[in-house]
Amino acid sequence: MKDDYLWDKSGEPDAEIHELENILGALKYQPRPLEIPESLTSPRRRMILPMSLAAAFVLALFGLGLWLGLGRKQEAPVAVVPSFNTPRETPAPAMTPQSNQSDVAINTETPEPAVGKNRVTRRPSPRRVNRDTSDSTMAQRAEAEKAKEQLFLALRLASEKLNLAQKRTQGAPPAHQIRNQHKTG
Amino acid sequence: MKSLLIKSSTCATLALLFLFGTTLSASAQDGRIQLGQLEHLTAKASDTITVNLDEKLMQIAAKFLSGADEDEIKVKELINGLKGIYVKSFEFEREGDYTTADLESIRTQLRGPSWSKIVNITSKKDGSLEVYLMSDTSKLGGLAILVSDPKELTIVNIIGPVDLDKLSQLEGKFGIPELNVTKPKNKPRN
Repeated sequence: MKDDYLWDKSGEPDAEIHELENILGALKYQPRPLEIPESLTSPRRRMILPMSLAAAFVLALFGLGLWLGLGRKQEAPVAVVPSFNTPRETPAPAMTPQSNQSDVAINTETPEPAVGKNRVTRRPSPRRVNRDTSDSTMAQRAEAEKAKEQLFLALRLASEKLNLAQKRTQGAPPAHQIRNQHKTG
Repeated sequence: MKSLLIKSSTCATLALLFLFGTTLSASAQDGRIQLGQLEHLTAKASDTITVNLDEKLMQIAAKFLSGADEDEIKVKELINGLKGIYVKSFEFEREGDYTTADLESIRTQLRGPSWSKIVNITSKKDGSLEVYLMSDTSKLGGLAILVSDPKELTIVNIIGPVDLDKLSQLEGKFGIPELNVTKPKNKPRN
């Protein structure tokens, strides 16, 4: 049966089918590993390594800058602390108009005992801390002063208008009295 | 189609008006008068005074009031319990720089059931002066003073239990001379 060949290749093949098999046989699946030609590789893929290196470098630079900036802000420059027995210079207390508890606590900071001679340490700049706290205190004070001024102004105006109402109600003669005066006069 | 459009626009306008009205009445219920609609008068006025003191700002100011000064002690007592003080005052160089519509926008807010007009002085020459009190159950909940003369428009709004006697005694305090409010504006006749 010719049909059996088409089904399971068991019968005799038809001549045309055999010819077709020969022609198309070259295109049949042949198992082999995938080979991508060099010309087809993405340029992005080639740039990944240098780009990642550049990004890492920029991030490292940014981190370094941030660290240095924060370090400068929070810590004083390197200070040479004199030897253990010599008294350390204490900063003068900030002269804020109304220094609060926190100011006092900062200004009366006791010197730390330094172990060894001429130890190099980093410590927060009391001047900077004082300046920051006094700035915030001054800002709060300014706000309060402004509020106080506004309060006085508002109360004065309210009081003035209230008194004006009182005086105008008491001072204006009643209508019937005027009419009577006209009548009698 | 046209009638549908007209109907829908009418409904939208009514809804907006309702929303505006409820917003105003809601704010008037807590004693606060909306003064924002008078902002356009600032450009016309020669002098403008604006005071916006909420509870927090008053507390800050109260902390800086001296306990030794007699006047400041009185102020401290007066503002104790107050929730806000709002003032808007305009002085104009010409008459008619503000309209009755401006006044009405304030009066409408004071027509609610919680407000009662205790003083109403109207004079063609000197303008009008109205004092409103807001009663909050048994105690005084707020005060509003509306002063309008031809060249001045002033609105004072105090929220909270205010002592009127103490308030009226404050004039002439704080190192500022008493304003001679009874002085006649017109020149005396010869």
